Amino acid sequence: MTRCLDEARLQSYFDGELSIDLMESVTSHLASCVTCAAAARELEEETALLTTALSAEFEVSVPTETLRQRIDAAVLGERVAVAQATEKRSGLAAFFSGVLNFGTQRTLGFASLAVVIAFGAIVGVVMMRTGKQITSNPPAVTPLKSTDVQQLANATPPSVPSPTEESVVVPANDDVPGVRPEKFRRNKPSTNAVPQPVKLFPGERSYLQTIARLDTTINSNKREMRPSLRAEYERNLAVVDRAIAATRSAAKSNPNDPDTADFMFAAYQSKVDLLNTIADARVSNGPRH
Amino acid sequence: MTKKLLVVSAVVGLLFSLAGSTPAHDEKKSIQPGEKIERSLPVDAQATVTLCVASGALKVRGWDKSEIRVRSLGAEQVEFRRIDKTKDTSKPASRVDVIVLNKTGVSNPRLDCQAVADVDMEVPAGATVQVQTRDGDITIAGVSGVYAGSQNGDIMIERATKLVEAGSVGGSISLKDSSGRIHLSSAGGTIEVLNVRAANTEDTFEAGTVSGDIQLDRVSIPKVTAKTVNGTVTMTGPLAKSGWYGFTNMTGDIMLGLPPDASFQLQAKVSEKQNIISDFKLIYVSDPPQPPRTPAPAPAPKPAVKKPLPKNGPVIAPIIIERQSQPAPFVRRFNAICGTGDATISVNSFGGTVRLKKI
Repeated sequence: MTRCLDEARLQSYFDGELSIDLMESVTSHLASCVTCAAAARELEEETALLTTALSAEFEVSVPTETLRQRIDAAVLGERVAVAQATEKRSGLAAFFSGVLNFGTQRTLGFASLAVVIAFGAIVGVVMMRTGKQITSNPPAVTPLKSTDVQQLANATPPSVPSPTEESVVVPANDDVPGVRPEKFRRNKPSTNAVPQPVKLFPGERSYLQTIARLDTTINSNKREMRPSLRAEYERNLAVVDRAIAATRSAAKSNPNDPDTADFMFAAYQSKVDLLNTIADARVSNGPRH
Repeated sequence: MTKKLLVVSAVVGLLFSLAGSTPAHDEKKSIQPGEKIERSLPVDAQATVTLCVASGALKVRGWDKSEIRVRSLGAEQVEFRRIDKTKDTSKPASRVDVIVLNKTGVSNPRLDCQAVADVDMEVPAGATVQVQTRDGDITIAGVSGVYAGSQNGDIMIERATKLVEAGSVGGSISLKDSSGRIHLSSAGGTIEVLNVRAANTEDTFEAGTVSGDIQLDRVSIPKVTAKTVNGTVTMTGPLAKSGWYGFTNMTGDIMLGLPPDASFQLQAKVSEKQNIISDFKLIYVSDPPQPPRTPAPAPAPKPAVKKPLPKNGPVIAPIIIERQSQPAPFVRRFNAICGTGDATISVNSFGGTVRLKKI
């Protein structure tokens, strides 16, 4: 994945709607793209804010059955009253009269219905955005591997990353594909909706910073990159990103194997070398120095 | 009257003599489109010469004259810019920029490296050339040092004697019959090297690609490093005695074709899913002491996983080291020796197969 993630893709990522492969791809991209990581952080904060703001509505159960019975009773009572009042009118006149007759109870009934429909629409929209299930049962959790458990046990407690901290925000339990991020669970307290910084390997941050700087250098050049150069750049960048994703995944799964981490760093170094090459190519056609 | 004639004759003679000593870049003449332009300049035998165009094929050849000769088809102007620090202009230039322009007139720095022209250039055999083009191919032969760069063109270098640094984004690189310190890199192109040796004991060889293959044949340099992400690494030929050969790739294979009497130590790291296939009789040895890592790995919170070590002892060739059945780290490490272990081969392959073949 070479291009920056659009909002729809990010939202799908946070909603857990992507396939496992895409989830890994996006995770890898977020780990290496500061721009997308910032966008993800912003989107996550917005979602957390929305979740917090609507938490009261989420927690209060809707008296659907009671309300429906009251409305039905009111409508039935109104119908009986109207039928008694117009029992001698013709059929068509009686129909229009019934429809257009907005008595107090009918008005209240329609208003209640409108409230219910509006509330249902809001809940539906929110659920579409968060991918929540209406049931109050906890979502199914796939069994954790021992390494995942170990990683989760060793994970630092959730904390709000400071603006200066170059941490990459990803879902707290991105180690477990298929498990929805904790903060989007409906019954969880809002304090759990705080984004958690991804756990970087020692030395990985410096690679990410270098990559971000080189990426900025390449993109800050006002001249449009020539199509042939861009094609070669993107093709090879995809190759390197795949290598980083694969080696990083292996390193995460084998945290006690430094050789695996070495492969990951070698992949990072390849990306740094590639970006250096492209940055040089971007400036090499100016006057010699 | 006689005096006037003498003065006029002297002035005319002076003008002719000045015209004869005018530098090459002042020899302006009307160049018709498509006409070949040629310029020359005396230089030091070990001069450094730079040549840069936006697009076009560049050919550089070393010769036994202390002179640069530049010929171009397509350029409208060729100039020499002397950039050495010496004030004594009577000495041959030691650093020269060759300026190739498509538009005649006063040299504009902004037009430097913007010409579209094919250029042939002869330089002293002891010269170091720095050549750059964007789209064209580069061919260099018979010089001392080479710095060559092209974005999409191929780079072919022969008979360089002291130094080669070549880089391309999409083009391939070919190096033959050369010596000295070598550094080759290409993002998407292949790298082919044939018959390269060291000029002194400190020389090193480095080749790196992202998706291109690396093919090395008869590389006799004390330290050889080849890295690729997605390409295949192939090396054939004898090993330098006490040489160090390092090969790293992520998904491609590594194939080493060595003489039957090759003597080497093998230090291999491969992922648990990959194999090492060897025609050589390898004797496993235990892990050598590892130098401290930088950066240091995170402290392991749980007991270290015991690495399954292969059994020590001779192995009948050919052997296939297959993946272990018991739980193991993702990367397996093998240390083995063949013969007396003169050279060292370090192989790191994350997703490819390693083959050691007899040739």
